[in-house]
Amino acid sequence: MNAQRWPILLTVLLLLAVPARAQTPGEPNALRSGDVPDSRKATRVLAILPVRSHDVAVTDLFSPDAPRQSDWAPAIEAQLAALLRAAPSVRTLSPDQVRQALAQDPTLQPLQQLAQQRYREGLEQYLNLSTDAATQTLQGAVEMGRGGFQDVIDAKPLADAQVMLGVCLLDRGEPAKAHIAFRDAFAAQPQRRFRSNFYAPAVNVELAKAFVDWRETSDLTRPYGDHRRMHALAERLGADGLVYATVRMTPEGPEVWLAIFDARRRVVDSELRVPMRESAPKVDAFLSRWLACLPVAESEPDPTTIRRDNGLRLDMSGGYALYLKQPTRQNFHSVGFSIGVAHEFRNGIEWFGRANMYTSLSDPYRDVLHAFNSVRVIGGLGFTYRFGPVRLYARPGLDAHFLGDFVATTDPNCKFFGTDHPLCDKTSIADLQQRLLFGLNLAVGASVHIGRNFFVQMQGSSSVYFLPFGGTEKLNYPTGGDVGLGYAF
Amino acid sequence: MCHRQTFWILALVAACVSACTTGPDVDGVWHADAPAWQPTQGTNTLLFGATAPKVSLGVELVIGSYGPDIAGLMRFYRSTQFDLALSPLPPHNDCECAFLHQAKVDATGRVTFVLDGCVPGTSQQAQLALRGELDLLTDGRLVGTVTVDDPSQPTLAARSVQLAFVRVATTASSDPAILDCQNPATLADGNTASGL
Repeated sequence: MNAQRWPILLTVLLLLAVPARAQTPGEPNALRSGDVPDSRKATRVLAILPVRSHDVAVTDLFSPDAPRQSDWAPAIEAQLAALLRAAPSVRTLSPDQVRQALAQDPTLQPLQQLAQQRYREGLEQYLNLSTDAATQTLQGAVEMGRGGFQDVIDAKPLADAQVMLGVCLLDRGEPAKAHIAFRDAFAAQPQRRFRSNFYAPAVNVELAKAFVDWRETSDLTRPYGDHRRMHALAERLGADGLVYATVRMTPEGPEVWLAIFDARRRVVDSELRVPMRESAPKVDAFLSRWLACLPVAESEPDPTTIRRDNGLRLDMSGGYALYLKQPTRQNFHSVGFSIGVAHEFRNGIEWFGRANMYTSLSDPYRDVLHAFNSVRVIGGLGFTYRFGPVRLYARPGLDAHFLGDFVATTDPNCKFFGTDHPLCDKTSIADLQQRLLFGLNLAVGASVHIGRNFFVQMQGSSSVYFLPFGGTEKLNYPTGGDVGLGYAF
Repeated sequence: MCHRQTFWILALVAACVSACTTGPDVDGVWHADAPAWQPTQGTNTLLFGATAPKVSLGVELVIGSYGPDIAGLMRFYRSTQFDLALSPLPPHNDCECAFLHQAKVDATGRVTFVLDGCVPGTSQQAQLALRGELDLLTDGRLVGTVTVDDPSQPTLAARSVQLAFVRVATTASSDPAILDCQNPATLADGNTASGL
């Protein structure tokens, strides 16, 4: 090969090698573009509701002392809690924690207490043969009990009220409504059983009918009511989702119905129906699949992090200023740069300091005899408001402005021949050399974080000078803007 | 894309130029075409009498413009027989230079001014007021007339001379001596200044 072609070949090989290196598979579990680091993933709160166990046979409905088939609920609840606790970015509320949270909710406690009180009043009214009044009172008790989520905390008081309501309705000759009340009682407390001689035979017949009806037709994936009620429950618990299960007996053995309610979307997100004997691996796989398919949510910025971002802020900006009051006939412009520092010592309040150095440019009529430099120092307290990466601020402060070699005149002879020339009209000269002006400054601006701790800052400001007295009438009201880059420590 | 960028760049430049430009640029040092100030009769006669011998003068106009305002001076150079033939006395040093007063330039490039001082052709350092009106032409020359406008000199009233200036420097501030009417001897090449 021709030796002169070696550099070309080497270049081509290098160009090919660079993409090849870039396409090399990275390390396992390495973050890729678009991935959310674990530290930024939002934690989802999942509440496990008490598992409903339909383990009462029809034949045992009036045999409270008959041995129960089995109580599967604790096993299912423990399994769900163990699986969800092991999942990343998930915080689990166990059924006991759910009960405790609802029982201690100060807004629910009055409802729960009132439901109990109404139940007792309704019972007394029924015993005093005031069936109509008892019906109304018990209906109130049921409504308040459901509003207070008594069926989640402890279902018995609510089921008691519903049974008594059904009894009252039967006495009033309203069997259809009584049937619904009995059904609701079983829905609230599926394991409820009765002594055969406690209620009248007619009531027992209706109870049996309602039990069979409920067993055959109830929606096992919604044991706690409709979506609206589930959403309200999730909001009470501060949960992103509700996990609940129902176990019921079938000819093939116990069967688990598992459902997950998505509180944000207000739908049952996923359902599983699996024989109890296979529940361990299948529930595990079901939950893993569901968690894996959840969209990753990024956590809101930690307030403590925000506080740290709003620590010391340093910026350097290019600036422009214009004096709204000036001795020249046309505007003259000043450009320069500034250095600013600010520190937010409380949320929304900061102190700040800023130094500006300006050089004036010639005005169109060259009334300013020569370019002059000036230095401004501004300091004060600012007020901030932040949303997302944008931080707005308003900064009122004190302004000290040291004018450099500022001499202006409108007489062309002074400009052309010099201020000492006999033709120069001395009265036309505005000589502010070495003058120091004091006043107030107001700046409003915004900084936008562009990555890590860097931010772009833009601000507009204006000053009014009032000191020295009588010395600010020729040059005043500097107004301008700054654009720059800053860093938040 | 390229055209678009070019357009914006040109627009930016145009904006800057328009922001910084205040009118016609007449700054600098101008020299009138020679011969000038000829003592001929008719419209081109200014001060000299009809019987006077012909003389040629060089006229220099020094201008500093500041928006619509102008400051400057007009200086006269003797080329051959500058007014020695008219007066036994040499001209005073002040007489070869006069300041511009009330000088303006408008947006069309018309320069107006008043000369109030001793000008060539006046004997005995007599003070005379003249009015100048010059137009900046597209070829870069400054062309117009200087007319006697002095009620105290009725015999010279309305006499005028046509002048055509060519710019020889774009700034008048490079040599401070150029601006010195009182001491023309300090001119670097003052061979012709004051004629003395």
